[in-house]
Amino acid sequence: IFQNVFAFVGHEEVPGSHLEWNAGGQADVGTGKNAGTSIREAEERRETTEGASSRAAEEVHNRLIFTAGFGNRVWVNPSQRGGSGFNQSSHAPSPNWSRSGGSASREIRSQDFSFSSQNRFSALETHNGYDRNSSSGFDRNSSSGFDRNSSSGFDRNSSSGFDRNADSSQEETAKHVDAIQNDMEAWQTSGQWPFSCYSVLNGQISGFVELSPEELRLEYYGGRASGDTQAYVSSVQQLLNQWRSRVQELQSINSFSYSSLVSELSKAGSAAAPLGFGSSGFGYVTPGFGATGSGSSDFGSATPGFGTTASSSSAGFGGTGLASSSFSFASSPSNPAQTGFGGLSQPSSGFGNPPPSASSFSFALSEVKPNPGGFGSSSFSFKANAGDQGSGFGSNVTTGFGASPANITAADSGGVFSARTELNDEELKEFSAKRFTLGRIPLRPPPADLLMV
Amino acid sequence: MSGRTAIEKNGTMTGSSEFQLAQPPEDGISSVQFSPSSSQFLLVSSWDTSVRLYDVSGNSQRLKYTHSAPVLDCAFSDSTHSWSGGLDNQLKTHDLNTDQGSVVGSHEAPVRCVEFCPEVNVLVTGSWDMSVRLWDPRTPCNAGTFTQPDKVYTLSVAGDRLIVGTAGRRVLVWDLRNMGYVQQRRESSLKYQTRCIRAFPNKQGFVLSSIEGRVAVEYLDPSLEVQKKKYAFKCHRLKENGIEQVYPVNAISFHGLHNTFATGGSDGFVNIWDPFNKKRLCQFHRYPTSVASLSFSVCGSLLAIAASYMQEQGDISHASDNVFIRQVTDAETKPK
Repeated sequence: IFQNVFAFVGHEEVPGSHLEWNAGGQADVGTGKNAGTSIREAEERRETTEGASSRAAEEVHNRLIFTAGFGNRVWVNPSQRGGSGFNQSSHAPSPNWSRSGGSASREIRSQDFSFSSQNRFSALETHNGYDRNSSSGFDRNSSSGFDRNSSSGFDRNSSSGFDRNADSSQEETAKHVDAIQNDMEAWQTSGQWPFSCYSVLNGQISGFVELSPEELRLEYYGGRASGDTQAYVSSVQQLLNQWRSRVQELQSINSFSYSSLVSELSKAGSAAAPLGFGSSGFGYVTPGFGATGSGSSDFGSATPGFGTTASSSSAGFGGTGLASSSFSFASSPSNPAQTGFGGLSQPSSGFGNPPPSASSFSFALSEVKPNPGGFGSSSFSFKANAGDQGSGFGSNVTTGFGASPANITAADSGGVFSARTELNDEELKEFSAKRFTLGRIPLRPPPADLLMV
Repeated sequence: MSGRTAIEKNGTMTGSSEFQLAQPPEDGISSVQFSPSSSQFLLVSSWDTSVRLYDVSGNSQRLKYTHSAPVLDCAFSDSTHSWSGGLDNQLKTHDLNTDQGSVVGSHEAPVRCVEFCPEVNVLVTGSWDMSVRLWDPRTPCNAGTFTQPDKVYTLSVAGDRLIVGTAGRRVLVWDLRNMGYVQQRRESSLKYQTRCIRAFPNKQGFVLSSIEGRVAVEYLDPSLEVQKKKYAFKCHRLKENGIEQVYPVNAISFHGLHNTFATGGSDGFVNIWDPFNKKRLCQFHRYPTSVASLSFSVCGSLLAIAASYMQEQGDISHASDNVFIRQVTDAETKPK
């Protein structure tokens, strides 16, 4: 139904091409040139996407349209209300969390920021979060430009769900499951950076290690400088295997396991539960939190409170204490920043254009740069070939590498977390420890009760 | 225009409006920054541990100083002082006139970002040690350490406010005049790792990019009506063999006058966007390798483009790391 004039396709230079985006609640349905033609179409469009504007604006505001999406959750420190630069008028400065359909002028209470399950997930019943199906009229092949197809959280704010009422909770689940599956599939075939967190609904999904490209490069330089790139390569390979198995596990998520995922997220009570943020109190609960541990305004003080764990980051960049799947590269506790960097002047591995060496790996399906050593010299690819969901691929690449995964099968225990009984002693020991031991990181998810560090 | 003079001298011509800097760094380029007061000078930090000052009009390298490890970011506090930090965990400052420098302080882990706030006259660093530190450029000395919820990946200054992007997709807004507590806690609108955040020159909001070929435009005012205006879009994606390839968007730079912004990705492209009309204004030719950093000159007539392989695919042979200086026109950067 939804036809949108989408002039922009592809990558050619199209100066001034007009791209359309109907942000939630806005009145402009299309460009001026559409107005005259096909009024019926425009009306249909208006009905589905502009349901809000034809209803009382009050109703719109009272719905939890912004709680379903993580995009609009802005926690504002109430002590800022008085004298900040914002126009914090009688209108509640932050989204109206309460379901009571409260008026805009209500006082903000700390429980408004609690992101409790009661507020957060009730939103799912009333709003069509993901709108992946509104692809009609959009060129799905366009790889850039402003489009409705984005699976970013922002879509949850689209107005297309306003006219739905409850009883779409099953539909909601189906849509979310769909979205996760699509995301996981795309992640495997698009060459997208694998070492990233992944967030769905209001929480971050556990089991993903987050590393920025610079952090990975640091590890590589460290390995190169110390002459041992093999450890680096093995570490990356292990991370990749973990990532792949997690992605495939999520890809096989069904409505049942999704529900348990959702309830785990809500049980933890805070948006970033799987990462243990809730436990640190660093989340959305206490308005006064900011004063307690987040910073010091004493001049000259050098010790970050929360970040005292930072000293352990000298041994690796695994996101200490945060993700249950934190990972440490270092096989020795030395500070990688100092490891051999004095030796950066070493001549051969050189600067600018080192010859393709042992540790090349490719995200891309197609052009893996020719590596004469073949697999033996440890090139590895981030992509699963289509139709070959990791099995044959995995076996090719892990040959010759040290750590072979113990058990890669994505055992769907019906939930995201493993039951204690499913895990062996070693895995339980790893999960119970403060940090993982390199080479012994479990590939299965932890039991839910071991999530908080 | 300065660019043309450079072409006549020793620059490598890549087009009538663009040239390559002579004597580029010898390894990956982490950051390029134009001087706040002149289009003539550009600071470049690199994985070869150097920080270099270039005279863009003459296309020559004016000076160079080094850290003991790769440098991840650099900034000017004024036209004669540079600041830089990197994998040696240290923050250094350098007087560009006298060619004298010093170590100002350090973090517990690599320094990832260095930014200057002219309104408050404070230098800000963000680190993988999960803290942000403020520095007084005059003395110079440390002016406080502020814990963030996770490793700091990016930060940007908007007036007297600081926007911090950390791992775990967290975004924090701080008031640099009052660092006692966080002003706003947010999450990125995007599902994946935050790559870069840059504030609008008009200080109304910021642009956030992720590793997943996507950019979000967000607003600082937390009121409902303003928050409704935020949006996100896909970019820096290429179709190869019928499958969409997704690239990180590594760099964002705002045109100081028009409030339009350029993005650079690992696909090797630079796009210029008009956030108000939601249009793409322009895309340049494809660069030989990933675009790691971008900087508009203060007058808005030049764009420095660091095309520098970022090791996304490990160690492969790649085009050499270079900085391109491109003249940009109003047609390319001005909203229609």
